[in-house]
Amino acid sequence: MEDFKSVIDKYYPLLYKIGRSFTNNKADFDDLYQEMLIQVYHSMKQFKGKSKMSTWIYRVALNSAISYSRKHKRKEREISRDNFNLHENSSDEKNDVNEREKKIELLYESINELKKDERALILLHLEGKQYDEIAEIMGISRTNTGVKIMRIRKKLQRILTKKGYERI
Amino acid sequence: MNEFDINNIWNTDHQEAFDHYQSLSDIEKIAKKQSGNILYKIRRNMIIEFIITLIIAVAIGLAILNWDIMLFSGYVVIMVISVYISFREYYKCHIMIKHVNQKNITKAIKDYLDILKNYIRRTKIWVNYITPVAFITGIVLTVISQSPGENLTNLLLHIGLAVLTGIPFLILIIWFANKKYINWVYGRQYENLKSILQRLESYENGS
Repeated sequence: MEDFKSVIDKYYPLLYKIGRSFTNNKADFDDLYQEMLIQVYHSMKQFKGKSKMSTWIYRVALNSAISYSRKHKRKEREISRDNFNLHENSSDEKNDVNEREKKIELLYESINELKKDERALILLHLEGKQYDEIAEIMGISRTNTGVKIMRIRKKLQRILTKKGYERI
Repeated sequence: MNEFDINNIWNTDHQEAFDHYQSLSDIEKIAKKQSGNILYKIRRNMIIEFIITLIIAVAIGLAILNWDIMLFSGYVVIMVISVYISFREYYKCHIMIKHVNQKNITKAIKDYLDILKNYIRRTKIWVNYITPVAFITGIVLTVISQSPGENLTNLLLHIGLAVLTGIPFLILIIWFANKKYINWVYGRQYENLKSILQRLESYENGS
């Protein structure tokens, strides 16, 4: 079985993305990131290898994120997303990097406007997971997964359109 | 209207994750958070324990004053000393925990464990050995002060017999109750801190 360090080495981008999708400021992000690490750490003892490691990590991390998000619902609404500056950008950074970062920021901002289970579903979809695996992680049927993802994509498109972008 | 390729943007967001990951020592963050929670519980338990000690001492003191008897005068003295010692122990421990350098979390947890270990050891000594002695001293002082005309040798003989028959039983009860109590209030926290340290060390050795 993989140890904690190799699991985190492998899945940190995923934890990062989940963290960003479920919080709207740096303090909450750090808090949730730690929470996910703790949950993964503790749950590793219970991992029996019946499902794929990635499926299991997604399930643990998403459950932590959804439950964290539920607990911090009020706070989440009050704090502006402008507070989310994980890295300070210097003024001489190239325009294309700024543009890319701006789009990343906008994507997270739009995902954040979705409901909690919708965020989890779109996240798994964007990660390239197949409907079967998404259904297993989320505990819903495959057909339902497909329908929901279609709806969420449309919803996300509407949000982005309102912000002046067109999804392709 | 600007183009926005969700999948492409999603997949390019790795650099920031990488930068963030580099700035974190994950296991240390976990250890810090968990040890912080444990320390909070330890300090909370100490405060509750001291407040209860104080309430009991004040209640007994008031009862003695209300009865207007000095039968238990020896106990009052012992009680005041006990409260003072308890307060000193709690305060000392509190200050020591507060002054632990948290920059190196492994070292900090080791220090916390040492402080807690010493605290538990001192508490055990006080409760298991000093309390029965103080209890007996209280009886002796009270009986002597209440029997001015009695022959001191006879008095001490009677007290000695009472003590010899009562003290093993008393020590046994105190020892057993104290063991359970310390394990309940501090033992679990000590073990939890120890396991965090072990994980931290195994992680550091493995990386």
